[in-house]
Amino acid sequence: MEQSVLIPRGHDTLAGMLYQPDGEIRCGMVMCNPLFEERKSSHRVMVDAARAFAANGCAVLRFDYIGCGDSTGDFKDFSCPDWREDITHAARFMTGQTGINRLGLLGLRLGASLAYEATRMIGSLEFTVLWEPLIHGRRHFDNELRRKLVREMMTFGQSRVTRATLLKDLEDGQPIDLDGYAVTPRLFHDITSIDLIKAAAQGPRKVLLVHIAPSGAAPRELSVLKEASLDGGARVDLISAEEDPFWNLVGLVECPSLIEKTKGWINLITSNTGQP
Amino acid sequence: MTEEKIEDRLKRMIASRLFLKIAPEAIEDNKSLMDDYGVDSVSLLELVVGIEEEFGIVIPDEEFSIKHFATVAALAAFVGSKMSAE
Amino acid sequence: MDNPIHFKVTNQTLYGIVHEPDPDRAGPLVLFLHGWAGSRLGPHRMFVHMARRLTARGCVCLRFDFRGRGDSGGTTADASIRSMIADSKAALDFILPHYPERQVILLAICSGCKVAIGTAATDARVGGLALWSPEPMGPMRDTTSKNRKSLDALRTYGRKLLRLETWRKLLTFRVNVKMVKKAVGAREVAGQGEISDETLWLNQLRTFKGRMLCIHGTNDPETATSRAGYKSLCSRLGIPQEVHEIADANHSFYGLDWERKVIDLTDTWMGSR
Repeated sequence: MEQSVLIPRGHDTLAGMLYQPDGEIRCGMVMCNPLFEERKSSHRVMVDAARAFAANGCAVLRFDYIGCGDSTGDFKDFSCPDWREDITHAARFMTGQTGINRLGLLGLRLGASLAYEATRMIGSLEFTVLWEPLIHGRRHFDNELRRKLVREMMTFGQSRVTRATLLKDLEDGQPIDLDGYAVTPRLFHDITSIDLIKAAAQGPRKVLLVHIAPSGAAPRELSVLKEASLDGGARVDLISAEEDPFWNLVGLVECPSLIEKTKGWINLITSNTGQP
Repeated sequence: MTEEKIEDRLKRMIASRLFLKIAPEAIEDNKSLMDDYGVDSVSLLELVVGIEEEFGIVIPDEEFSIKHFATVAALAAFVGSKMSAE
Repeated sequence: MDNPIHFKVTNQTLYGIVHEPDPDRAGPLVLFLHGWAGSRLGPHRMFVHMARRLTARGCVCLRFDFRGRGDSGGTTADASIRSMIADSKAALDFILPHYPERQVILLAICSGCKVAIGTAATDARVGGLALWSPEPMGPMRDTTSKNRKSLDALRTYGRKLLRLETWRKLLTFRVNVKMVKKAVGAREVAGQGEISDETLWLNQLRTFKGRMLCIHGTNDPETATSRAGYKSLCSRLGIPQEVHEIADANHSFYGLDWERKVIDLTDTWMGSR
């Protein structure tokens, strides 16, 4: 069964979809979207995943952060701490709605990074799944700026700005336009401050790291995150799913391998033994 | 041993990074990468990163110009000039 | 007030949001139609921004996901412009009884504009069309735009064809076989059925009694073809048309300033008589 839900957040409201299994509920999961146009491109895969997990006994809540999607508020007024707080609201809502106490988070890209950092704010989490997390926010942001230049080049024949001028604008307190989204200096600061390796000691306790690419091994930085999390005492599994980078694609794709592998891990982690 | 031409190295990269179902040698030097081979902004960024890795060059922001990325021939000339300069 | 809603089309549930104005405000009922691979949010959430602006001026707005898209039920590969038209009519069936006195305007982007035309051509309830980046249809289409679409499909399905899972789905017909064949095997002859449908809808549009707004970006490669095509169509059928071009803008208006201009122009057009 699936239904639209509204999650109260002070004077605001977060819009979401709740997917409940028909039979026994084994666990619950809050899905954390990526941001910007990655939210749009990944939408259908996240829906497919939510339905597959629900059919497998896991209740799922998908929701939009404040200022994003169907939720109230303007994007420019919010940043990472607000969205991490939203994850905690969503988790509480999920528990209240379903009575489930075995709860996990699943995040994609920036949503995975937010989920990783939100873990410490949520008392008891059973597991955390990170699909292609952004480990170093500064590196990610630099890539996004470069993508902006490429898009300008394809629109105008030549990029009209440089990364240096964009960064100068942010330093001067001016928001910059990233594909129709206003990136404020505050948001820039918060994204570029993301460093999951540094946060690993306080990160989640049972983690699935998933590298998503059509081919090739996981990049070194994911292995480093795994090691850092292990050092912090976490149980961490790192796997690869051979799928297209769906969060970047304009067309519609399916990701059966990613969903099946994630489902298998959740089954394992929420089974009675919980051991591999 | 003959050194592989820049054009051929670029074609291999384009075929693999874009997952085209054609052999690299089937990519024509003077056909439009955007109109004929479906290069979009996402794959173009991948190509930029790939070129920097493969050829050990840096493409400055000021040189993001479509004239350098229009065809394999144009791209090879651009990469060649950057390699000579570095 | 934004309220989640749902309605059924052939056993599939479609999800959406209704934006309701203050009860004493009058204005049209605006149905938002997203593009082929989009959702009810629109690119960079511009449908949400537009709906909230229009609601403030008294419009009722309904944004929903077509079957196989966004949150809605149905499979991705089964959607077509025809099914999207059926979904649009079902959305009107759902919402209009609540607001029977309001004029219906379809606000669409990209491929959603074809859906808007097809709906307006076959449903007398539609009183206006606001089209953002409408694509050339039927006889307006040129070879370049046809090839571009097929290339995009070629890349997507080319990758998929490499995979065992996809072959399994092909055998059980869970993937749109016609689409794969079209993309991989017969690019140059593809889409004749689609073009015939589009030509039919354009002809049927002669029964349409409303007005049309078209907004194009000057950097959208299809603008020249599309602008000329819709101008000629409106002139031929006597449809009052307002046309705007947003300087430098691309197909999906990926810029804050472009988005603001599109929203301002649409808001003004919506308020004009």
